[in-house]
Amino acid sequence: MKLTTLIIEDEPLSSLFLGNMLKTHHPDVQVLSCEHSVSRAIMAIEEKNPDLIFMDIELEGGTGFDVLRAVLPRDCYLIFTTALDEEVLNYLRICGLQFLPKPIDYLSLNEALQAFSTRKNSAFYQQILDNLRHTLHYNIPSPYLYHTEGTEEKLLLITDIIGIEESSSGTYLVLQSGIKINSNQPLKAYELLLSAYPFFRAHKDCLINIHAAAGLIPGASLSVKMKNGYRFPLSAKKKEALEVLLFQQNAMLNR
Amino acid sequence: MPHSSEIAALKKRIHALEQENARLKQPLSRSRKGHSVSVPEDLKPLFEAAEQTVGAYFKDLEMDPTLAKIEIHGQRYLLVRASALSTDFLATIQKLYSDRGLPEAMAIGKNLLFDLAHVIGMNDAKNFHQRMHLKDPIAKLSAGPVHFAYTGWAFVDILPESHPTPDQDFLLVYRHPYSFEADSWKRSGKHTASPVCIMNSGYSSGWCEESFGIELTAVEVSCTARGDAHCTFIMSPPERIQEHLEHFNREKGKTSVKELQYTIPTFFERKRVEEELQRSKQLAEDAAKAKSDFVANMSHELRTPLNAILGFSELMQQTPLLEEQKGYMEAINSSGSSLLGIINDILDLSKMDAGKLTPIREQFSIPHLLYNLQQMFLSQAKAKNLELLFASGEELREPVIGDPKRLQQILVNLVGNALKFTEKGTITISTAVRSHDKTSVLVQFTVQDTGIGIPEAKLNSIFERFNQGNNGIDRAFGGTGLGLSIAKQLVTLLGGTLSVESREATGSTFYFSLPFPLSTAQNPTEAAPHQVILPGTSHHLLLVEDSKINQKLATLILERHHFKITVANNGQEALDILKQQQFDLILMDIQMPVLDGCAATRIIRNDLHITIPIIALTAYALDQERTRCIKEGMNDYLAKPYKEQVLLEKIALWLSAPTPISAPSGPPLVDLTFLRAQSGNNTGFITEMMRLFIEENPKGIAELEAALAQHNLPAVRKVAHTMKSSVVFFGLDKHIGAALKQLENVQPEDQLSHLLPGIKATCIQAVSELNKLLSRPDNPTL
Repeated sequence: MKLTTLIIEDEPLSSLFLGNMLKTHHPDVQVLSCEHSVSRAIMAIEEKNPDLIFMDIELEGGTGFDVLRAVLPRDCYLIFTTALDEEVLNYLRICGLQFLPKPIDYLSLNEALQAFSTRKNSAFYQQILDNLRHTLHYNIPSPYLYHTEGTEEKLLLITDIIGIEESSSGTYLVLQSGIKINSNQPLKAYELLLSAYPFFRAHKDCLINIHAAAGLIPGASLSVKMKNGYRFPLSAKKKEALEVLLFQQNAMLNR
Repeated sequence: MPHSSEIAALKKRIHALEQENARLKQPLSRSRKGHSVSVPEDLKPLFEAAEQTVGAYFKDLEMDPTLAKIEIHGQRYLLVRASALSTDFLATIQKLYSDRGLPEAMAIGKNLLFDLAHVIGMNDAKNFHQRMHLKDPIAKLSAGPVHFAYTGWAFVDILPESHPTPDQDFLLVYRHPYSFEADSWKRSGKHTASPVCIMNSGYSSGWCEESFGIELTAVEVSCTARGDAHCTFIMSPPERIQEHLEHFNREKGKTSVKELQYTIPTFFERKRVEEELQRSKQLAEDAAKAKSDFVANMSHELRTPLNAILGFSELMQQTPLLEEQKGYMEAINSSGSSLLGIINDILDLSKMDAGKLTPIREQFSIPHLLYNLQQMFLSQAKAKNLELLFASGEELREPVIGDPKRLQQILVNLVGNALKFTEKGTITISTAVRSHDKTSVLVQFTVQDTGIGIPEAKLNSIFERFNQGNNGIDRAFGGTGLGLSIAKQLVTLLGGTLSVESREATGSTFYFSLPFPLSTAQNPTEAAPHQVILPGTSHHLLLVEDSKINQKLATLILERHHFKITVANNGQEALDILKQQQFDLILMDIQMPVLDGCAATRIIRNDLHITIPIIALTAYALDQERTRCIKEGMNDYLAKPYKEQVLLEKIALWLSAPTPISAPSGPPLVDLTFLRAQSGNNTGFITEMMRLFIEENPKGIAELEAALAQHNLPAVRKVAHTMKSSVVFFGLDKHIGAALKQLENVQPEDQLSHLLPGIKATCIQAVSELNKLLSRPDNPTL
């Protein structure tokens, strides 16, 4: 059975290119139509109910998110297509949404379609869509961080992560409960990814959640004590900055 | 021990030697008795002081003939025989100028002497005043007569009516009881009817002029050489000398100045006339230049809009029109054309007035020129049912050297007039060889009509500007009345004279003869064959023009003839575009903001080493403009407003001309590697992409241009963003990706318009390359 898809894309060449790429490499995917504006995209999605949507971010009359805010069917899989805009990409990464950087090449297209075939009807993908719907509706940063460990995918509540630490094998995320979750992403990637969240690089080996920090522990080796008692190392150079941040946070809390 | 008498003798000898020594040391002027100048009582103290000063000055007079030395304070003096500067001198001048008659010869001689003495007087005074540190004008002036006496010119007796004040009231009346000039005449025994003391007048007025700093002249009113009791002089500012002379005459009971035969020096008058002449000449030159510049500028201002009027009306005539509208369009076009004619006439006249019109020298064929003329007027003659006869001598087959453009202009003018003023009959244009040798030929051109003719009384004035055969004719026939004036001046410029014979109601004959050197070359230069540009041959032209309306006009014309046009708004834009893509020819305006046409051409030729033809388009129709264009490396020149046909012919001519050395072609911009790889080299896929790019990209560029022009930043960001993703498919991001990214992130304070030309040029070039790829039937690149 053929898969149906819509290409939501305001740039005619990109849309022709993607259409032709699908025609050439994925003849099982049927392009129902290409839409270039927010309003037409909304109409097309409501009307055609496609299995798959290739969604560009910049559109005539708004963005792809505006479309999804208006219409986000439960049984529809999204593949975002976008030029490299780090802010948008971080958002998509955190939300666990599939995206294809432009110009789309057939390898990433294959991968995206591969992921689609495994994810499309999964409950987990519904969680992702729910989270997306939620964040779009309230216009807030995603409260969840998408995480993969091997083949296992999960959404971690960001406020639950008290810090991320460098380990010999990679990195691990330290949760409120004290559980550590392994990750293959370098610490630097998390620092960039979470730049919109209250995370602080306290030491070359760790990134801490300011909201979870209790205070500094002076001594020969400086450290930060978290509210749950966990300790992260603190670099001497970062001491002062952290003190300021904690002071501001306390001031806000006491107000 | 010497004898006392010997000592006494020795003492006596010493005393005698001392006395001799003292006598030798004694100043020459010591021998004077009394004063060296006699003055009225009230002036005496002044002149006594002057006696002291001048006496002190002359005390150091030294003479040594072995060193040719007569010197005071190291300043050399000259002894000159008095008559050599008076009687002898005037006698010689009289002989030299005998052909002018005695009075004029004498006047020349006297003027020379006056001028000479006046200048010496001024210089002597200046030197003396400096030497003796005299600052006060009265002291300066008082030293004059004393100095005069010491140097032997004259003994001066200043009369009481004098009032030497340093202003226009200056008056000095004085006598020379002794004058070297009068003395020299009396000694020669020559009779003179007029006063002779010219140098005295010149020298003393020169001295006083220098002393008081005002212009002064002097006239001798009575002279002992003539038998008068005294040599009497009146000195005053030149403007008032006549008045004083008349006053003096009245005192003497004479009625006119002439009666006394004074010689009033013309020194100041001549000086003034010369200065006046010089000033008028400068003024005239400035005025002519200003006028010519003004007219050139005006003509530029007028031609530019006229260009648009003529061009668009020509274009409009080629669109479907109602009969009524066709008539209106014809009226617009013909009015525009005649206005252009008038502007050209005025421009020509102003060029001639400013001496800026120089005939060019090129080889041409007279019969060929006449043939063109015939073609030009055939339809007009037919329309008026007139016969147009061209009679050209056989012997004129050889090419000649001359200015065909100007000759044609003259003949067009004369034939045009003939057609205008002739209602029935024949207009004959004939040429005849008047004389002929191996190197040159004298050709007579005659234009004869059977028209209304010119009244005899008017024959002389018809060549004057704004003049026509008779009053009211301008209303009947139109025209500015400049045509014949221009024709006449042009004929003169080419070395002939335009003449006319006419009888009222019978007709007029205009004729002139012009010399032409014969060309040594065998074949006359033919006008370049009219190359027909094959439709579909899409030559790519770069139009560099700042006026939007002219851009539009040229683009409309050229696109209809299947040219591809890229427009640059100024020289700098042209350079930017030329760096990005290749063209077959450039049409270049001269006056443009940012970088003008000449400067741009210089860079194109010298720095970019692009050798494609450049045709200048300018509303400046002056020859020097043309020369400048060519000098900067342009190939040809077209004056605006141009006719569609002329523009096309010029382009055809230069496109058909062998290109000297084609500029090295840059590597193609378009890179299909990505599309080939991604599509698995799917030709259909790639072709579709190319077509869409060709279709979409120019729209994007236009949007970007508009957004930048309107400073619509959100639009700039959006278009740049979109374009960035589309140019990637053809590998253009290598060239303009960075620029587009800058535009995508444009901030209100950024000035990024300069990025546009590069982006545009790249895209245009890419589209052109893609078009070429698509037009290949075998699509070898795919």
